[in-house]
Amino acid sequence: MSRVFDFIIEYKEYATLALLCVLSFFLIGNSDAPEIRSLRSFFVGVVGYAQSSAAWIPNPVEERNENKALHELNLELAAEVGRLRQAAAENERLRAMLGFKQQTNFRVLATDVVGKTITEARNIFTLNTGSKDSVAVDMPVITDAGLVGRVISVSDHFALVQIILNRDFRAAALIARNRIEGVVAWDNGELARLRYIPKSSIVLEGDIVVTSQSSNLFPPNVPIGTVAEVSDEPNSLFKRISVKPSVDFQSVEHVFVVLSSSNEERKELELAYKQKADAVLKGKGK
Amino acid sequence: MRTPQALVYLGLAVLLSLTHLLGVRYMSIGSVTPDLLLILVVWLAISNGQMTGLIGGFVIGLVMDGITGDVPGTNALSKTIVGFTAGFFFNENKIYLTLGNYPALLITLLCAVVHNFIYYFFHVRYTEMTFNVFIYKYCIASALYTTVLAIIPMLITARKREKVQY
Repeated sequence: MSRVFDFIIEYKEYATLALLCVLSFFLIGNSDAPEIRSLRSFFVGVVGYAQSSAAWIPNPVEERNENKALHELNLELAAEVGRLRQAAAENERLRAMLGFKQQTNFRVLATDVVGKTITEARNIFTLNTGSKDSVAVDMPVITDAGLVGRVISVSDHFALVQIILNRDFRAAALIARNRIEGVVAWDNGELARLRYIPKSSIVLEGDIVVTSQSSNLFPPNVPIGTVAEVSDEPNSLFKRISVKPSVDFQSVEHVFVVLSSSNEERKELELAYKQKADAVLKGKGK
Repeated sequence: MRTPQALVYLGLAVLLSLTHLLGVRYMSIGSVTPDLLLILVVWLAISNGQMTGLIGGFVIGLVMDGITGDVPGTNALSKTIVGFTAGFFFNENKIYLTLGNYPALLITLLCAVVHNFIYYFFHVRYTEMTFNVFIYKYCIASALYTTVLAIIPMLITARKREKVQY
């Protein structure tokens, strides 16, 4: 400390000069005179030019910070891209559904799948619409791709759908190419079965299977799937036909409940006949 | 430097600043003006040493900035440098010899060039003067004019020296 003091004492003229110059520059710097403004802008230009000239010299600290900032930005952008891709896919799905809704002749109600099981023997979907939205038991559920299943239970705000991949599901169906009728059911796996097609029928892989007008639950000509495998079942009169469903049950998120498809008059007539037949059978039994 | 002497110099600084302010249009030759306070700072530094020259230059510069309404600090800075430069020629035994002869003029000329270079530097950009005008007119011509006026105190000092000697 004393050395510093001695040094200052020895060179006191220079120290005083430095101090007075600093004071003068302080006064000049605080001035708002046009001369100083002009000079200040000139120096800003000079410093800017010097900085741009020296910009090629790498600065490790600055580059590390920039690198870190770019990494963070990259992460944010990657997340943003993911979100945008998801939104685009959803947008495409919703557009397709909107187009389907406008084209279809049925009165349909758009709804979301809020729960699903697709790995069990009796797979179901849960929808976030219920009896308050006019959804009722036995109503068909479809998408723009094809048949999903039918409503088996409703509460005020939710509904359970028995999908094609359910052991209790049955639907009257036909092969669109030759109008041969059968019944679509499911045992297990990813494929459904088209049953009761005689061995004499010509069925080809790729044939489209649609709902039949024999069904009193489902509207006719709704795609169910395409024939994936055809073989002759031994010791049986019928072919063994596997059908790949049109709907991808893994990814489906939005569906339509068909509110008015079946003909009530037809239902009542068929029900009355069935009751009459049951009564006759009971009478014979007595 | 004693306090009364400092007050004399301060009074002179105020007087010369007012003279500069009021009489500049009568003294200017083609917009070239002398700097009377610069001569005062040179005389102060050669008479009393570098440290006194430094502080005196700063104070006189501040007085001039205040009275003439110039950019605050510009005269203070340039005259501090003048006091410092002139202080190098301080010799306690040769004060009258230096100030009463042509060396005083040479020192004044040197200091005036240095002073003008610093002082007008702050005005170059604003007035958009060319480099040649800056050097020849404001640095050299103005310094020569100031040097010419420095003949007056030099002659006074020379006469004073003669009186002291005889």
